[in-house]
Amino acid sequence: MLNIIRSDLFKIRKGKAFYGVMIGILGTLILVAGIFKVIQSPAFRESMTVHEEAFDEGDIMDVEDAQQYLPTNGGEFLTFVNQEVGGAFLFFLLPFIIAVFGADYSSGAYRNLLSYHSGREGIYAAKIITSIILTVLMLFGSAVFSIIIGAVVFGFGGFTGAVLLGTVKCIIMMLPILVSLIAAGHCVLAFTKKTSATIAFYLVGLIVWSLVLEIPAMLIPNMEWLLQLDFASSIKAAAQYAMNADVKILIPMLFSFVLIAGTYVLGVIRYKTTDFDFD
Amino acid sequence: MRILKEVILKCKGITKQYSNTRALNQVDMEILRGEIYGFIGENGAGKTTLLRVIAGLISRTEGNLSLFGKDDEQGLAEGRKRMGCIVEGPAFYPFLTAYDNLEYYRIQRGYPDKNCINRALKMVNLENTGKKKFQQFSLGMKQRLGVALAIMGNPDFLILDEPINGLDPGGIVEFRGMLKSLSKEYGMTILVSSHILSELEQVADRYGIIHQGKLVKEFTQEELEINTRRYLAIKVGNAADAAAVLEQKMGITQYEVLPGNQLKVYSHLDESAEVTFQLASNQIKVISIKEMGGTLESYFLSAVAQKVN
Repeated sequence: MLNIIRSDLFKIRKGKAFYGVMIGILGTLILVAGIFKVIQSPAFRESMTVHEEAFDEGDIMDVEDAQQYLPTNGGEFLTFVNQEVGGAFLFFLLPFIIAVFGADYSSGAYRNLLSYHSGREGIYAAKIITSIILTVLMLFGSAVFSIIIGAVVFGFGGFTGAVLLGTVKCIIMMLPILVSLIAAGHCVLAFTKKTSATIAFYLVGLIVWSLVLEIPAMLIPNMEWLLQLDFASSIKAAAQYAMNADVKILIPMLFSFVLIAGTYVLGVIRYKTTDFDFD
Repeated sequence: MRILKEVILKCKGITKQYSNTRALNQVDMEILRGEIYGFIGENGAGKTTLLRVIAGLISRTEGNLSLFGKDDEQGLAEGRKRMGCIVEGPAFYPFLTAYDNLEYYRIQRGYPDKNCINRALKMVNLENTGKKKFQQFSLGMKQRLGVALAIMGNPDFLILDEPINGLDPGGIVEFRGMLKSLSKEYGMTILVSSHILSELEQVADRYGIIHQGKLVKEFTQEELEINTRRYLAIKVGNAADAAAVLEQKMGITQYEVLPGNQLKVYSHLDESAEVTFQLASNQIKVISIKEMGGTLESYFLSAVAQKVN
């Protein structure tokens, strides 16, 4: 199993996709920091104050109120990214992981793998472990980028031990939710054996799942807790919890572990028993 | 002598049933150590399905499979680690070079010696491809890289599914030489399927013909030579007299006298005019004379036709 993980990490290191995603994360963070910097600039404030006069008081948040939510130093930028940007991982990190492992099917390389290694449970587990390693690397990479960009754009202030520790806690807390989606992604891939179908299923699934939760939560009394199972909300809650906010995360965490176990077992059974005889 | 050799692969009653299709039907096959086994069949006959079963890519519905004498799951798993195979053509990551693709599998399979990559690339003449990515390779180069992967771990048993597809004439000659060398110098047992029967004919020791999921015929190279040997088929008024004339006048000794006043002459194939002249000069009525015999291709077609009829 270790050899399969090592070889997949070698393949990822040699390819361009991983670096592409990291550049995408870097670009997003630069964009976010840039927007904040522009909003904080005196020229922008002046311009907004002029526009505010055109609205009745109370219609929109005034510029002074909005300013208090914007980071004023690197540490605050890091905290903001931890709490607010983590959900974005759902939309580009996991499709990337599915694309990486879906390439085994599209290239036909699974034939070389399965004709040599007979223990399919081990292969399946190795692929999931590699996906988790990739996710952790990306989360830590994103945190490092946030520290650098925060320091360059907003200054070196605010990088306290609590903020840095909170960042690590944030990654740890978000991980079960992301792993549950990784496990689900691999499970779907084991059924479809097609990257595009799996990514489409995944992205549509995220939206449909939100709607599925929203409707009973609105219509049935005492079912609001269902909203905690929405993945984007779960990630945000986990990150806020890590940064010491008073939020409930027991239900999303339990749900993540159930999803990991359920989809893993289903995926292994499928992977172990399926015929690999498609072109 | 054959029974003294180790049985590398044994299929007994292998059947593969898809919902409405029986892709393999009670296939029995045995391959002995050191053999080059030519596996022949039309498209859709079941060749690749059987190779997939052997490689462990698909399950069998019925039947027993044994590799290196072991037929339990553990034994088959160990046996597959002693195998090198290309099933359904070479499959590699398009964005990696030849070296990196092999390095990926070297790590994955835990081969400790890095030199095995360069050795394998050299054997298939791909050692100078440098930074060229797999996606930029010609079909022939892709095939050769597939062979390089299959032989990289010095397997005891090599399975090659249509390995000559896409090779240029020079590549085919080289490939033929490589197969012979792998068999003779390295003692590898080879199961090779191909549509290019003239190429198989030059390398295989034994053949199996599969048709509609059934192994319809197995034969050795010697049997093939006998059955496809070219000869002059002569129908005469008196076969015994004709034989005597051919012996005395032309020194022909390689012949057979068959019932119905027929002769099979295995030599002097280019001298049918002289044969006719000598027989006629000696008052022997020549009813017909024509060159007969065949190739693996014609033998394959007749075997399939017999099965259909």
